[in-house]
This record gives sequence, structure tokens and C-alpha cells, in this order.
Amino acid sequence: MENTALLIKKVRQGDRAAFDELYKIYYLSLLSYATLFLSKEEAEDVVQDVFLNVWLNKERLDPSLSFRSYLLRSVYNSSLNQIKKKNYSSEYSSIYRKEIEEMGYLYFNPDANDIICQLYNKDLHKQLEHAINSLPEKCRKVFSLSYIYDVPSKEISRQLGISVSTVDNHIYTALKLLRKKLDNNKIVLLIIFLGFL
Amino acid sequence: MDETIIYKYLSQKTTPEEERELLEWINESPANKELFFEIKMIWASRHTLPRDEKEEEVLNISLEKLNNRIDQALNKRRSHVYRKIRIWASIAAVIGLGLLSYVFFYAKPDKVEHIVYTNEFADSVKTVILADGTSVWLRSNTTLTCPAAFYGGIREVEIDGEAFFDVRKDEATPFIVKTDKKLIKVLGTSFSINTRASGDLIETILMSGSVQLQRIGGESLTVLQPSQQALYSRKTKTLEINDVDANVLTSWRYGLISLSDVSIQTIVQCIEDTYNVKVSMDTVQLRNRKYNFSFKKSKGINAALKQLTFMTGCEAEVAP
Repeated sequence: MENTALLIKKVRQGDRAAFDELYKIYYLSLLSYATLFLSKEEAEDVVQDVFLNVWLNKERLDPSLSFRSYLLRSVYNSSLNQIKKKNYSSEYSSIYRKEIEEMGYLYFNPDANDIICQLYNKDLHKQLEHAINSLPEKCRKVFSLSYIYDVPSKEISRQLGISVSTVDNHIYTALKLLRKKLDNNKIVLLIIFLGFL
Repeated sequence: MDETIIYKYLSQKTTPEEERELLEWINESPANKELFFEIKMIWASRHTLPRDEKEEEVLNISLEKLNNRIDQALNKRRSHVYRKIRIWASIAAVIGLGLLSYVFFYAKPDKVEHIVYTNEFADSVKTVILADGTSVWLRSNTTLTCPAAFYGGIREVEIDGEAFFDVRKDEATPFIVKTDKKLIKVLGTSFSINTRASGDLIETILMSGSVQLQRIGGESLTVLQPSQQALYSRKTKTLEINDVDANVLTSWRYGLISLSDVSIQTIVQCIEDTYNVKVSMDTVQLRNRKYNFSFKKSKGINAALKQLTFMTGCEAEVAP
């Protein structure tokens, strides 16, 4: 896979194939980020809108700045605009959910939060796969069915002959473990950096 | 608080009372807040993991859609006709809605250019993206006719054969598919139409969204719900509606053949038909079992047989 700085330089010069490559590299992680705010369909539209603008304003691309930050910020702004436009107030199941979600909109601001930029990188899916594979056996099986294959808890409980609350516990445990593992990646980076000082 | 409420919240299974509890817990400390939102991020990241080959294709389709939107946006900048319509439309908006339809009619060019897309090959799928960003997959021996650009407040196309549509949502501009016998008015959605279904039928299968079936004269036949199939008989002029697995029946568009809950004989038959070979497999002991089997045609007969062998524990080979 080509170095992204090189791809960006090519896109600036009007190279459509390089643009396609960039889209493929960033699409999944941006889509995931956008689903923090919107439904999957709306999220796809927003990611496309952002890339559409990248192409239409390609002369203004600056290869020396972080492209990833730029993309995340654009998706963030577009998503919030969508939310304002659609006035989601009526769609929350309770006022408490509304408050939690609105807290999230602030929390997930890429400029306010380093973790966003680090998590939503192009290798996110690889890191996730790796982390999932290192989960304890039973936990991993239940979690994969839910997380990757979208099987509802009731169905998992039926298939594996365990109670629904056991299923939910496995899934929650897995989420906590994944969070720790993905956090560790950051710590490793930090240590390497310190080593060079 | 039982922390698994966090997971229940993310999968939309919490009661308002539980949501209140969660909110309280989040506000208790910055550590709680961090834990909750970081787990939410991990949960949202499941979209980065494709669950099967179908989803890998989705990336390519998304890219095609994007490129079409770019082309359209670039053309709009140069097109003099679009500009004319936009100016008239804004004047009409000031004057009043009543004039709008007149204005669209007046501004419409005399000759609307039509594009005809044909897939004349017997065993391939042709993908087409229309001016508005709608994707259409054409099955073999299928023809799609549509205007070069959509005017006049509707998007109308004509189909002869079998095709799958993923219509770009535009509530202001309904999407209409014409066949020889009936019209399908679409309300932002994905569905397939087959004008040559066996028994002289026109078959419509709805995947998501909503479609309204009408006779050419305008009389409404029904409004379909997702996972429903409508079979219209040209002979009896009646409509039959069934519940189906829309995914299975429309998976051909990915070159993916998907069989659900079928016998081993059906799978073998399908492989034989797809590749035009004879398969030898001792299926006696598997006779009463049911399987799910998906394979991508382009991966070839050997891959499919290997998969079948692995799945059943019985050797499947091409017959000598």
C-alpha cells in the first residue's frame, strides 16, 4: 500500500486512481466514527460528502498536515450538521438517552480528544481482529457472534445453551478487554517515543 | 450499577429507568465517563470488520457511487441547462408553488436523450450507476432504459429482464420503474424486479424501504413491505404476495450464490448448474440434513467443492 503522503500529493495533481486508493484506506474507520453520531446509512452519506469535497477542493490539500485529523474533523462537523438538521429530539427513547448522546457529541470531538485520532486509524480493523483473537475462548465465541455477525443475544443464548445474561456478560467483558488492549497500543507508542528523547 | 447495562444501552435494550441509572453513573466520575464513551467507540468500530464477502464488495460499490457523484457534480458546474432550470425554480418559489409544475414543464428540453444499458451476456452481472446516484445491477439478457438526466420532478426508468435497484433517497423526486404491465413507484429503497419470472409473471422483491406497485393506468395494486415478494400474473392480472428471504434471492448481484436451509442434493445441483459439470459425491448419509451454503461463482468450481467437502465431511469432486 502506498504511503498516504504520496497519495495526497498525487490527488492534488488530479490523480483519480490515487483518490480511489485513499478512499479505500480511510472509508471503514471513518464510517465507524460517523456511526457514533448517525445511522449506518447516514454515516455512509456523510463520509462520501467529505470525500466529495476533498476531490472538489483538491488543490487546497496540504500534504504536510495530518490528513486523518482533517478527515475526522470534517466528518465530525458534517455529522453534527446532520443532527441539527434532522432534530433528533423526538427520536430518543428517553430524556436520559438524549442527554447521554449529547454528552457524546462533545466527547467525540476529534480536537478535544486524542484518543479519537489514534483509534480511528487505517489499521483499526487489524488491531481489532488481533485483539478479538486474543480473547478467552468462550468469551471470544459469544462476542464474535454478536459483534461481527450481528446475532441477537437471544439467538446466541439458544445456540450455545447459556442464559441471555451470561451472553451479555461475555460481550461486556470482551468490550472491556478490547478497550484495554487497544489502549496498550498507545502506551507502547508512548514508550518508544520517550526512548528517543 | 450493574455495568452490563452499558452493553444493553448500546444495543438499544435499556428501559428509561436503566438509562437514568446509567446517566447518573456516568456523572459520578470522569473515569466512569471515559469508560462508557470508550466502550461506545469500540462498539461502533464493529463496522470496520467485514462479516463476509458481500461486505467487502460494499466498499467497491461505495467507491463507484462516490465517483459518480463527483462526475455529476463536475458536470453540473458546466451544464448550462441545469443553471437555467435552477434560475426558473427560484423565481417560481417566490411567485408560488402553483407555477412550479408549469415552470418545470416549460424548462424541459424538447428531446430528452435516453440511454440504454444492456447486459447481453448469459452469466454475468452488469452494474450501472444512474445520474442521481442510484445503483442498478443488471442480470443476464436484461435491458435498462433511462433518460440521460432526470427532469420534471420524477425519475423514471424502464426495465426488461431482471435487475436489482438501490435507489438513492430523494423524497422530493419519486423513482419510478416501468415494466410492460405495471409501474413501481419507489420511496427510497432497494429491491429487485424480474419481468421474465417463470409462469409469465412479473416478480418484485423488496429488500428495504418501501415500494408501491401500480398498474400502468395508475390503479394501485399494493404497497410492499421489506422481505416481501410480489408476483403479478400477466394472464390473470392478479397479484400474489409472499414472505421471502430477500437476501438469498437477490445475492446474485454480487456474483454470490447463497443457499439457505437446503438439502445436499440442492447444493450439488446448484454447483452443477453454475459450472456446467457433473459432481460426484456420496450423499447417502447426508440425506436428511439441511445446510446453508454460499459461494462466489468467480472463485471457481474447485474452491466451491473444497468448501462443500469441508462443510459436510464428505468428499465432493468433479465427476470424471
